[in-house]
Amino acid sequence: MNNAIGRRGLAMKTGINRRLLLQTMTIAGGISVSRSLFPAPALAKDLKGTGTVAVYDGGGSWGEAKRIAYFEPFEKETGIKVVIVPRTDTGAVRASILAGAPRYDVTILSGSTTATFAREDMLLPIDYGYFETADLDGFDPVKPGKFSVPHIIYSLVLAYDGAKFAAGGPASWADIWDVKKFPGPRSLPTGTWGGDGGTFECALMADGVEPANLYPLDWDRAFKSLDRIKPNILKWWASGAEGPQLIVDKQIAAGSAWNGRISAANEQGAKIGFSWNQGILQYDNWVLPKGAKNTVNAQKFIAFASRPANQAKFAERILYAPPNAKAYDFLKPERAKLLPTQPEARKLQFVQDYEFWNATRPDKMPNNKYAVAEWEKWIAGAR
Amino acid sequence: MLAPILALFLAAYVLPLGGLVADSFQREGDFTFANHTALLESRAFRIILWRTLTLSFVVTLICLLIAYPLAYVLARLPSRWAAGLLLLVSVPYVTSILIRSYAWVVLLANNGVVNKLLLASGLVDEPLKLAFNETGTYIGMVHVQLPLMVFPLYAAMHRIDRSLLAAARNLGSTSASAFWHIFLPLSLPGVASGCTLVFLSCLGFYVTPALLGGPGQYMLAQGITVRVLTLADFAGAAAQATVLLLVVVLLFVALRRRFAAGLGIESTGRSGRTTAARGLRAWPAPLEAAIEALSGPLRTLGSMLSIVGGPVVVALAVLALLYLIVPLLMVIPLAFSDSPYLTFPPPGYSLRWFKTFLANARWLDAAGFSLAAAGIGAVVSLIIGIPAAFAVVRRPMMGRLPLYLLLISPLIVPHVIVALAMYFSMARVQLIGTPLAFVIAYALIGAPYVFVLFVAGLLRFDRSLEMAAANLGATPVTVLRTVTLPLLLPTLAAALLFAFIIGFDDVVFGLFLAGTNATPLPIRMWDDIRLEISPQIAVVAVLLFAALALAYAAYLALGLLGDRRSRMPGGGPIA
Repeated sequence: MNNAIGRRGLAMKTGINRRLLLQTMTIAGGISVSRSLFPAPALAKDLKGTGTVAVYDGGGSWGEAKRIAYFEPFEKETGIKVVIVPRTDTGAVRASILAGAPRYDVTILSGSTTATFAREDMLLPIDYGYFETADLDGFDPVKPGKFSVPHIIYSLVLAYDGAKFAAGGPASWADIWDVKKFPGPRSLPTGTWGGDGGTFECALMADGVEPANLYPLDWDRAFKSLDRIKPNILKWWASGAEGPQLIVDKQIAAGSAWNGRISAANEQGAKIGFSWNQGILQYDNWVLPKGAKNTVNAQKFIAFASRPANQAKFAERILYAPPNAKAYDFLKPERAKLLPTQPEARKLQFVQDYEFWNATRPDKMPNNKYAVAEWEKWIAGAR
Repeated sequence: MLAPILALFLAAYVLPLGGLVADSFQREGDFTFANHTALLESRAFRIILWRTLTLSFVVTLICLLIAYPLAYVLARLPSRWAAGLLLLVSVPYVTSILIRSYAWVVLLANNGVVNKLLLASGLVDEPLKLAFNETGTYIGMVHVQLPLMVFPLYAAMHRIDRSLLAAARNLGSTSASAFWHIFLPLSLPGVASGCTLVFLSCLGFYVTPALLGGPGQYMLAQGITVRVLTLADFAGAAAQATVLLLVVVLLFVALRRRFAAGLGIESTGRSGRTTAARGLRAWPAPLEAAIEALSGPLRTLGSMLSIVGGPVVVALAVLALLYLIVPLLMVIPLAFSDSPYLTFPPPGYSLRWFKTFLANARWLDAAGFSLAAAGIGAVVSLIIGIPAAFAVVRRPMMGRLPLYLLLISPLIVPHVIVALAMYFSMARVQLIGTPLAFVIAYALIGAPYVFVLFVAGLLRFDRSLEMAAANLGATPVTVLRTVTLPLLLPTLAAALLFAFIIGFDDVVFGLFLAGTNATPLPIRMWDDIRLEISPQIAVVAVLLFAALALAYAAYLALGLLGDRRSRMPGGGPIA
């Protein structure tokens, strides 16, 4: 689902550049480029070791899925004990690295934050020597980077009250903006999430911008589009569970939500409609904080968690898409069709451009920070 | 008397925060005010700051208006009943913010309980907009801040010798006039400390407005929190917090100068004795003139009040109590829901969420840790906060105002900033992830509550009682034990409750200080249920409240202090 959920408190955000970089290179140089980037021996890797590794857990059903798919099998195969450490926020992770005492050996950052951490020299490079070549080739649509390996992929999609619009609900962001065609209050993520909420992209798509032409974002146009929807916004949601909850409680008729949250609520009997069309694919990465103690074990853990069979086991427990597409070979079709990177869904969506979100503007302010500052101006009526 | 609190503040707060604030004065390695002036020049920042201040002010005012009659009525009840009702007053504090906000949505939304009742009764034709707008913000904010106003008011009124009122009436004063000239001035220290606590804690409070407010709602603390936690922009956050702190301190200094008499703390330093005497003095001249001019109508009003006044005040108090407990009335059924997610009313009832909670060893461990850390932290803040209040109120000395401001400032600086600053210094001495780190943090954030409450408790404290005891041969310790502390018992109870809850409920310090062996309950549970708003959080609120109710039952059963403390109707405070 979405780790997205807790985003307000979560930590994760980004690593962008790498993905774009890799995509570009893959397109330009074909498979051989990615091979040469990640030279890896052909034989199955022996990950055996001793000691411990402190891993970000995430709690709840997310932590539970990790325990079953990764932690326990990893301990069994390698003899390395996994120490589960509860979540914290991006800021606290950064503080702990600055203080020279990171609390995790392996942690998770959202795609929208990873590059900033890498730029500040806070992460260790991934040692792809522990990976199977085949495991590396399977990553799609997001490739592993120098400092990060994707952990989960999820989608920010348009969502609506399925009971209210039983005959067919909104099918694009323009529909979400169209309160005549689909009447009722709306809710979108607060702009203080910067890229993570996807609100700026949604606003531009609602105004007619094609996903391929979104970046660099046209801020003025985005805020003008937001001006139009604002009178119909009941509230800006601030935690991933909130969007579906507002629909279940019939407070709103439509808005956006993370796909995993929607499916989980529907499994419990809710009737939330959604569409993959114009969905924004987002992802979280495994990273190695600089200064951590058990770095070798941490490298081994990430390699282990990148194997397709393990990722399939994970996706059986929770509706985050496995970044290693080969995991689909191990998944039942009825499960696979719920995941945002399955082929049918994949072609309707696009991957959020985290490189843009991490890039700095001419005034040296990163876009993530700029978005929050502009959002505050807009909310205060001073933009 | 001041040494312990100053040592803690210096090591765990002033020095760490100083480092962070110093960072905000840096730009590319140079010392500069540019970061701060840029903020003040930003229209958006000024608007958000202004909105934060005015919202906090209005909430404070509403709290005062609601809390005053409630505390007035409670103070007239025998202590044992008042204690029970005060327990109800603390309800907003023991229910987690998430579930409480959800309960408000259930009540106030367009299709909520309140609107259904109004529509059914024919009082309105279409649903009132009570949530997701300013109204929702005020309802939610006032609700959670109200206990901070009621407790200090109660503590102050509880000690007012009602025979003074009777004397005034015997001398021909109307009830209204006796109230204005005697009761109200004597209750002022409670008003001052309640307003201080509410106003300051509103400044740092943004979750309720974010959950219940409209789409335009945005508090300064929200921006600061986003900068620290999401953007990891520590210098930017520190700059905003610095400006906030400065503005509030200036505001305080200005207000204190103007209302120094009413508040009793002045930089010139006065002993508690003179301040106590000044409590009986007249109102400031303009107000006195106004009262004079209105004396005719007031007299009439007073005599009317003396006939219907009692019932009206009692009705107001009952309404205030209802307002405080109504969300709990929603939360209890939610805890017994058999639904996998939050829906109201629950489709069926079961104990499933209690079972999951009690079967989860990690949660129970975390609950145990939180109880212990918050408990010890609260006791430490009492131990350091009470002597500080005695020193500030009773010892004439230089620099009382700066000292006062320093000791209350942890209420002004958003916790996320204090936690961040504390993190760096504690990491240096390897304290992160230890229980000691939490005790220090909780003691620090609890101490201002203790301090403010006890300052109010000690102002207008009738020291002739202590002197009488001393003249009769009591040792200072005996005086403290038999006279001073019993009179301050409600203050002590309130201080302990606030200091405890503030630690027990904390999430922010947990984010920074937690480790494998020290994870508080809110962090652990929030981590687990963040993906699914389940009825689980309601269970903790119900268990916590049940624990408080049990403690109260035990208190009644044992008659602990009860008999000694209960007051005769119309009797003096230590009758």
